[in-house]
Amino acid sequence: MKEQKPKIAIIGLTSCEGCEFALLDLGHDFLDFIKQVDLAEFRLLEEEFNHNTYYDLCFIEGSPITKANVELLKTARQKSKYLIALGNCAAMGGIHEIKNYHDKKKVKEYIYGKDSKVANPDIKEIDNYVKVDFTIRGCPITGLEFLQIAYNLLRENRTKLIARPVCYECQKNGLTCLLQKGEPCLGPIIQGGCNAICLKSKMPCQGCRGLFAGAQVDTLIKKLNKDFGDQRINSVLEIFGLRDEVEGHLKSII
Amino acid sequence: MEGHAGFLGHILDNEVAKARIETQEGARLIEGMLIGRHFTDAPVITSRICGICPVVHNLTAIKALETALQIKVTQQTTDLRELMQYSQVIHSHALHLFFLSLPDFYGILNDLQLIKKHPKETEFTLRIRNWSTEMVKVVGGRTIHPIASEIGGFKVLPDVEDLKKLQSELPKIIQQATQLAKLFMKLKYPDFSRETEYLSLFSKEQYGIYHGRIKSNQTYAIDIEEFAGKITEIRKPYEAVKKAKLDGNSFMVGAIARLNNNHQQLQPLAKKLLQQTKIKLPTYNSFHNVLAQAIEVVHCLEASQKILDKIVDQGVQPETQQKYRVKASEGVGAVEAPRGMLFHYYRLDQDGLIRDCNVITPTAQFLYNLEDDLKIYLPDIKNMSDQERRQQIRLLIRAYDPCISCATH
Repeated sequence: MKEQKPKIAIIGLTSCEGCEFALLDLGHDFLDFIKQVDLAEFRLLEEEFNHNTYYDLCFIEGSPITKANVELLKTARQKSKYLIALGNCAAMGGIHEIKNYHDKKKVKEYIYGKDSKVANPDIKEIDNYVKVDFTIRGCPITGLEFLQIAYNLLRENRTKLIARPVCYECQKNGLTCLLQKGEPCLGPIIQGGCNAICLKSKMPCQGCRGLFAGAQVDTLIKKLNKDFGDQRINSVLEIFGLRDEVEGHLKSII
Repeated sequence: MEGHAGFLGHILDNEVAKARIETQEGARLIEGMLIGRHFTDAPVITSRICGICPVVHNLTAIKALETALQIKVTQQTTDLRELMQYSQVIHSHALHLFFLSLPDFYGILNDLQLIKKHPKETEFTLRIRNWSTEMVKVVGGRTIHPIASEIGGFKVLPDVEDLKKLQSELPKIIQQATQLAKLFMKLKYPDFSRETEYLSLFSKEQYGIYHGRIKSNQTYAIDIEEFAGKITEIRKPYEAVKKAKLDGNSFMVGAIARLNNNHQQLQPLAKKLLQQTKIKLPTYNSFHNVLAQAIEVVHCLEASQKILDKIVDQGVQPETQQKYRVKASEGVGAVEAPRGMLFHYYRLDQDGLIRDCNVITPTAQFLYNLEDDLKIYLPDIKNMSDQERRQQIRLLIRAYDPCISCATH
């Protein structure tokens, strides 16, 4: 009997869809990947799919903002063996989480006026709605890291993330330390795996991949707050939905 | 398409009573969140409006802020940004043409079938996309959400060796793009015509992509600032997209608008291909937007070659970081995104905090035009079977290449 290929779904909620395009941008490598699996749902490449099926791996990109987004997410969970958060929005809230730290009603009124009925919930990571088995980090994700994790899950049913900071890759690549040059870089507390791509362009790390296990968060944040002021640092932490994670971490150690 | 949207149409007594595109993406409230933030965050945050065209949001924000703060950039910076722009258009068009649009023409619902049936064209498309995504990466630091480009210039300049490599690969890529364009020239486009106002950037020097004032096929060119004041965004309580009108009317932007307005400025090979299509311009057939994209891919590759030849010849010159004074100011910026003109507006206070901003995307500009087309087109196809009709509607909507993530943002 012919062995059945594993079923994969890649589903987008509200987002820029950049993490889905990061997969398409893999070109041949992505085509090789989808030849080895049964791509059961991926709207960018298919118009219609069989919804009465299960998924071995279900990748969720984006944030649940509309009711339809939340329903889609919950249904996807029911159908899936492993559900994987794909990228910063799903994992940490994304840039739109910025409004959680401000008056979100005012934020919406600024754009749509007082009469708008457009959905405006607090932005929450998808693990507030469903159980998440694994996370692929970054804004956007790193395509090659996706392949590595997906193949690990398909072959061994597990994947391991080595807990080490962006600084590890920054130094390995011989890049200039921006923190030492007086820029607010979050590299020391952020999970590596991005190959320090921002640092290569002299852009300080703004933390899109989230904290790594064992990071000395309080030491760095105290230093940055002292050097740049709380307001500026909070503003940086808000960009990729890191502020709640950092505040939660600081509370937990008090 | 990019993002989620649906279509509602009713035909009553041979007249269309209703044709409405409904978007199903949530609103992320990008402009609202920028209020009170430092202006240097704008290019970083707004590039995340869209994962398929982040370069144009990034560069439009940068251009608007440079206008506000009266910053003049070097010729080299402009050249490098144009390279990013061209490659942005190339890889977005190539994806739309081959993976999104072509299956409609062939009546295929699944790209995997398309890939199996057309291995050679798949290979060409992948190579063109690889080349152009690599170009954005070499110049911008990353393909999706560029990093190196900033207000005043670049944080890091590209390595000339990387540019040389891209330059050496280009002749072959142009050949493949030409073959792909010929495939699109052979397709049968549905008969359709509705007189439309076409708007695009226009510059005397070149086919407007990064520079220019605004040109209409019906009026004279006007400045970006003046135009931004004329365009109205319509707010509706249940709609996350503010669709735009100009003097109360719908209008069209994107590849077909650029081709109609500026075809005389196409690069030689692209111009030759256009002549071979024997299409009379202006074309009022919206399905030709697909064909216009195929021709633009060739044009953008040829235009990239010119810049690459110049930079490789001169070498990448070191630049000192621009010094500028932050002050209370305002500015509008515009570029041609793959889907049409994109506008960003910012007003800053004396500390450089954003006090007002607005982003008007191409899809928000052309959705009313698409609805107006559908109103005319639906009666034309009313005698088809449900399945055929659905196919034709899909074909027309997709020919516009709507980006719902952008439109909603």
